[in-house]
Amino acid sequence: MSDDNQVNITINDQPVTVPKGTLLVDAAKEVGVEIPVFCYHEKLGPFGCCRMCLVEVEKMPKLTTACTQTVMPDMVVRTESPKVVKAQQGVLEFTLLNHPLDCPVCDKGGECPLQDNTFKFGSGTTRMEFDRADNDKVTPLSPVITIDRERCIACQRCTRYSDIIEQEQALVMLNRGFKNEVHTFCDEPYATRYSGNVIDICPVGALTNTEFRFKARSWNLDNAETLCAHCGCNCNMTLGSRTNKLMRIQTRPNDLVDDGWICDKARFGYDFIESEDRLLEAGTVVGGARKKVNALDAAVQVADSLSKIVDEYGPESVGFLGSAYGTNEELYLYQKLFRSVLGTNNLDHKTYQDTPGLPIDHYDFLNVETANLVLLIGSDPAEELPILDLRIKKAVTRRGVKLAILNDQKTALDKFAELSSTYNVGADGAALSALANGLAEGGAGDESVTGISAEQMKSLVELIRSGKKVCVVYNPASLTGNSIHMLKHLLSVIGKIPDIECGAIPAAPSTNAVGAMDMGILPDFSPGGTPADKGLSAMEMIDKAESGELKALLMYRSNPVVDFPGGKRVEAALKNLNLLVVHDMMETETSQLAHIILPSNGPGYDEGTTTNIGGRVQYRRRGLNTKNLPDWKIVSKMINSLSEEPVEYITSFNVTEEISEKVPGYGEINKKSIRKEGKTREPVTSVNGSVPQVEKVNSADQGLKLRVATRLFTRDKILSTSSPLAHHFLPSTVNVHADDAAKLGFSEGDEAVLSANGAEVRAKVEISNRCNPGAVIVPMVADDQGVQGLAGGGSVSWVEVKKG
Amino acid sequence: MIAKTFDGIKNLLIGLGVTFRNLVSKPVTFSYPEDKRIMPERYRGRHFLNRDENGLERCVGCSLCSVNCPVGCIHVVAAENNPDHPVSEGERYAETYEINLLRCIYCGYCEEACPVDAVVLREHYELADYDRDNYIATKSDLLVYPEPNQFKVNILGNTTRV
Amino acid sequence: MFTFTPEDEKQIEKIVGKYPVKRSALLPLLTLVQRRDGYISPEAMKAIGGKLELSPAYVQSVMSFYTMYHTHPTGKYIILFCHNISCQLNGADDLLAYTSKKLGIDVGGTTKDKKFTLHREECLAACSGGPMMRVNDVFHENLTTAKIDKILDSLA
Repeated sequence: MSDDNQVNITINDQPVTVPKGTLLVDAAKEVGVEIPVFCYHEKLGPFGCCRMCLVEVEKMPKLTTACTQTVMPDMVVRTESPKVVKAQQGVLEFTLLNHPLDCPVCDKGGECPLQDNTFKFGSGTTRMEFDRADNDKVTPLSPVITIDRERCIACQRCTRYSDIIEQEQALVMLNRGFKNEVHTFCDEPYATRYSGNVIDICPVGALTNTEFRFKARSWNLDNAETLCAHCGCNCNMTLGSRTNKLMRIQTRPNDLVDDGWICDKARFGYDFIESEDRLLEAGTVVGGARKKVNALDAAVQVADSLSKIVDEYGPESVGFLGSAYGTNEELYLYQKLFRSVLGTNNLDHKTYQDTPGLPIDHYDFLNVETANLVLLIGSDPAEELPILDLRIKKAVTRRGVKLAILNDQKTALDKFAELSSTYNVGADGAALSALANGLAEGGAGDESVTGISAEQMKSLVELIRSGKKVCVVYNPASLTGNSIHMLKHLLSVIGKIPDIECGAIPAAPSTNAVGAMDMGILPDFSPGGTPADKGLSAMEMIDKAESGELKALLMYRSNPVVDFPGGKRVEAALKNLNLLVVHDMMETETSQLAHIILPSNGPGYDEGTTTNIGGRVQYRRRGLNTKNLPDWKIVSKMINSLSEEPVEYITSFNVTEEISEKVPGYGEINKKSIRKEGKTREPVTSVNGSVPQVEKVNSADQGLKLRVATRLFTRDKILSTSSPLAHHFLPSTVNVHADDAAKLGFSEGDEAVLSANGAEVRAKVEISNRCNPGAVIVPMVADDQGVQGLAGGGSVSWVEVKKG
Repeated sequence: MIAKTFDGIKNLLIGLGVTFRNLVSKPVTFSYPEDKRIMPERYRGRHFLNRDENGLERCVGCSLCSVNCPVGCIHVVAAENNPDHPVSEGERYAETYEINLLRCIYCGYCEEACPVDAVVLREHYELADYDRDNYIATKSDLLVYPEPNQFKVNILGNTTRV
Repeated sequence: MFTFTPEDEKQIEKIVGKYPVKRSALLPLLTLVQRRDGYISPEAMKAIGGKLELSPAYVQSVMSFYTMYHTHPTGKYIILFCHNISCQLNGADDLLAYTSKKLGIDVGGTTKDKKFTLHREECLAACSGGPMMRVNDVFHENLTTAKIDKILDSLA
């Protein structure tokens, strides 16, 4: 073949052509030849310690390991010659030397590479007839992972995973040599965000899922190929159940989304689907007591009550507060109910401002790796979108991608960054405008406002200009006020730089944030980013509810009492409503206030499509069966009871069909096209507003600016105290800059009281330069911490920080 | 004529000879409900679960019997042993072990698959009852390991169901 | 609490400057700490990791490979007794037992007065002079019980 990048080789007399640099073990797969491996994993790269993959290469004096040998022109490889067979049998004999034969008890039994390889390539007998090593059996490596050191064959997949993939070096081999063992530093718990993946990659039953231990055999499980519903990455996962009970969750590699990994929240954070706090029955509240009703009757009642209120007070008096956690189908139907049937534009799903569409390309996860520069704006992927965090780490450490960070707080990714600039809390608009100006005509903005020195701004501008392919990752939820418009302006400025290829990922943390916007759960846009008459945004709805102008609200999987800024004020406003309908899967602070309650199935039980932050639409399959009606049926009942032309949907895909017909950008989304790896939806149109004026942050005389930081493991409705991930929960802390701490007389570990808006939050002081002086960062660690109560709902919140 | 008569008597006696011989020989049949048949050692009748020499259950709940069962009549739910009060040798035991004796075809694959010699098919063949529910043999039915060829009138082998 | 002295800092800077990659300075730094403290505590591992951008687990992993790095407080004199073939054939085992008895400690232990720590060690590359032991940085070869008495008494 003339192609320079292709190499011809022969494996077991079969010719094969593969790209240069391919490893023999991968080349063999091309022609269906199996070379057994233990230590090799395609995501971890060559290592060659287990010796299982020995093959014979002509003209090589000795056998060579196929997992470290790259293909060379005209190589002749044999994998089944007597010499190789003998070697394989010998290696297995040694591997099994100290491996206990407790396969009937072992959780890996049935899906164990060691078992399979021994069956296929082993000799069936052993000459090693002496006592096996007597190592520690059940040892907790962390509250969620149990290690059985007897079973370990020292392939070092887990330690390499910890080093290469999660970049933590938390798992290591101690006492390297004959007595080597997998350990953490001084046997501290192995508690990283992605620790669970070592369970999947362990080729033996050494690392096991503590929750799943001895519960079921692998072949007994009903595996549903579903999606994770925690963050906006929408990682692919397999939900294994037995007799309709959740057993375990595993990765389901999809290189276009998750690269084969899931975070611990995905793996261990699904206890809520069998929680006691689930809302399973529809109910109406009569005289303070909840009365159980049929869900469809309740739906009809909701529809009737809403239309009655519309008739009486006009369509502006009803509103819909959706959530970015619903599927596209559910959100689309709600949008249809409120926009088309009830005739209101009061729809929203978030407390920040955002607009659909991007002035530049919508990039997906793969572009993070192929870009030259990743620019993170206001995003903290480690806490918000863990798998994006892994992807960025991979890009930086193994693909040579540069990382630039522009944020108001220091994040875990800072140590990988080429340049990390921290702007003042609340000065995001000014910082983005300074960067846009810098890129367009030079200039660095006012350091006293942005908090970024002219020099740093200049190097950031240079870095972006010199990046041939720039991938901007921004978190709209972290931007204050109307800064999102400034960000979109910045994106178009970057797009106009000559010789630059660029795109952006709108990295909002919630599961289906992109889908919710595409489905038109916005006050000013219909599905597909089509502008609509402006309705009320979420915060405006709360305001109007407070003043009594808004009469009815329907909450879908939303809990404003806890999650919205304002706290007590929100609660009071909701109490003021004539009708509050809550359609949710869990009992929440908001559902306690509801007049009518509808049960929602939620992840695990529901099915539908979701759109991830990279714009990829994937199908979330049902994992467990329920007798409850699917959410889309309840919503369509509401629509049909009011509409003159009822549309009956038989499956959720009927709704998907309607979406693909009606929603611009979703034309090619159908059951078939999204079946395997999902499909990227066409970019939706972007409406570029005028470049906004930078909002002036009124330097109020009271206290410090407040930044509420997202945390991955928060004690909320999803992860309860009994969750296996409870060891990740943190006490309430406040990060104070050293300068401010000196002014306020705080020292590390002091108790502080933060107060604003009549709310008080107690927190432990942590002196760190996580943000610039003049602000404090409070990570949201629990629902009952009440930190959102401090926020005012305006663009920047101020808090008074005192000693407690 | 006389010769003919003698011939007849002779033939009659030959015929009756068989009768008389059998009159005094031991019968091949036996009066079943009162007498039980001694079955060969490897007869595949009803299942039992063995215990080991320490009195612990042999079954470790590996489910290999259930995966090998051609009719899928075995249901096993395993659980982790409490090291202080182990139910079985090893880390796991069968919390639930049920066999649907109506669905079972008594092929003995479960016995063959069992890596710890826990489940065995024994010589108990009296498996008739009036109630289908009684045919779900649970752990309490299976863990009674009787002496060979000892029967009780009770149909589910030798156990009394509560 | 483990801290580097300003002098250590200077040393560290010099050592780290020698290598193209920071990580390569791991063994010299471990040696530096062991020379100073006699052993390497978990806090020290953390501090070294911090200097070289390595996780403490990684530091521990490297350290655990080398038997001459000690993880527990040691005495003033660390006696490493070779027990490999040449020394063993010449009676190293008996001499080790004798030393252990004389000091009143087990192999691996430290005397109460924090003076001596006794360890068994693999070949120290002085086979021609076996049996041998190493006391801190000094090799003592062709040992006899009398010679051991003399050496230990001179140190006591």
